[in-house]
Amino acid sequence: MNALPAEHDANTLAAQVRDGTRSAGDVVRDALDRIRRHDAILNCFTLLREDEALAEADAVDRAIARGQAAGPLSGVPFAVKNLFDVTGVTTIAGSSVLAGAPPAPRDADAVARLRRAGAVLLGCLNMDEFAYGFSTENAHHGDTANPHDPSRIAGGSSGGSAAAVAAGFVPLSLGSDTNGSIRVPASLCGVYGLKPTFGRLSRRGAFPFVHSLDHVGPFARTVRDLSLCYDLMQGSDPEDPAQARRAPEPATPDLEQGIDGSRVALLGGWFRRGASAQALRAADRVAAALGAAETVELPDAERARSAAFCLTGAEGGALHRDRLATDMDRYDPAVRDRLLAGLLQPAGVAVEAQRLRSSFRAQARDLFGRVDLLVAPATPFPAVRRGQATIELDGQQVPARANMGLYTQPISFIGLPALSVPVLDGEDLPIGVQIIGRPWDEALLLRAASALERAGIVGCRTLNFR
Amino acid sequence: MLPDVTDRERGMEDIEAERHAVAAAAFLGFPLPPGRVAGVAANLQLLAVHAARFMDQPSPPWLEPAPVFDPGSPE
Repeated sequence: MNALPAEHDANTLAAQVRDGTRSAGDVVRDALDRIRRHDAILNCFTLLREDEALAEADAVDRAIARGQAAGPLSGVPFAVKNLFDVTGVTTIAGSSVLAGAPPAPRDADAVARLRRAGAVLLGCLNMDEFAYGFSTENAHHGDTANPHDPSRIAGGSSGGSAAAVAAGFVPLSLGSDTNGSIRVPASLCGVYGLKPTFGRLSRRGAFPFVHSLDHVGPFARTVRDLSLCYDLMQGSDPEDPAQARRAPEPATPDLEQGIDGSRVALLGGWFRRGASAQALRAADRVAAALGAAETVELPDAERARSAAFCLTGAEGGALHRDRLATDMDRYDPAVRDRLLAGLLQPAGVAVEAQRLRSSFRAQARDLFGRVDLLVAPATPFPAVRRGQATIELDGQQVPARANMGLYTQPISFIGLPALSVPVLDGEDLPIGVQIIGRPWDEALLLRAASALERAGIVGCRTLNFR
Repeated sequence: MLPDVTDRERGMEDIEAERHAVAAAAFLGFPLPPGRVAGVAANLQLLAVHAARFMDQPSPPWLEPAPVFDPGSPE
């Protein structure tokens, strides 16, 4: 693997800023310069906080010069999906519908925690409108292009977050994942993306999509950065009623402990159906490297995926009912029609979906009685071309976008933690593999990813956006 | 062909989906313009296909829904 440029590694940047090798101002100016030179091609950012970020970086430098304690992310640039509240910025959630809303009075909990650690927020990132999509082809703000091939999609809905990290604009970003919106773009853009256990991290200040499925999480180019960012995002927030009342469980201290003694299995059945040869090879390689001893199944995965699909429509449609009634024509037409259909489907569908959720959770709990980690493709295929409607799999044309979440939706449906790792397979386009654990076992996922990274099985490629 | 729907699975006819959209909107008092009905109906057909995959095997009566989802405790 290529040596990682310093600007791609948050831990290295923070150490340099703390020891005076570089100033936070220089780090932030460099990042802004990369973005100015290259984001016209990729369209990751919908808002850049240039003056504010430079002022905040200077404040970090002044604090260090005064001898004040420097945070673990001192001077590290980061950016967030534009559904996170940022003080003084209108939260648009990928839409023009909210453009006239007042600016957020304070940061989302996750944003505030990273800024308290010394990170410098450069701006807000493109996404599918209201997070309802897997491609970040946004009717209002344009497509975000894949840094590995700008003619292709970045994935979504956190496409700007994954692409900005893949391009090396920022070493860290934040996204949200309802049905796969961290893991899908992480897979297509070749970066690490962590969807923690449902309820682990506060969602306060993140514009909702589906309350019972929404998660927030980080993207990074190294497992150590991902782990540090995740650890810093942990902590109780009494203002998020969905957050579990658990003490933080930091993953970073034991990150390089390995996973000896853990039982690993490859997910078969639904999680192999419809996958491209590249996706299957990637999952097999990761499973073998982690010592997977068997292939197991979650028999109701297909039904769970469909239940997640219907529940998403029901909750998303209900959330947007009043806004749709008054501003229907300002929505992306495709998103509008999906939300309206979700609103108008029979209520019994959503109730049955919630009942299936209980039984599917029990199915997964039984499986985790005999294994500790599951391995499955994150996406069935690498990034398709922007505007490409279908892809050929097994000799059949299948819809490209609708199938992007095949393997992520059943997992988020029951709130399991999952980490998408970018497999180094020598192919032109990256693809990710999900490492899935039992609830609250993010630390084991991160240890597994770290072991794979040290073995050269997974990692981020360095692209020419410097 | 609707996305993600096979011929075998396609069940809800266009006219049924459109009627449902109009009736459900009226039930909710939601202003659904006639020009929006076809697009909504197409998505209702897709939802119907997905719903059939789990509605055709109803859960046992003792199984409670999970309206506020709890992923469970560690083993």
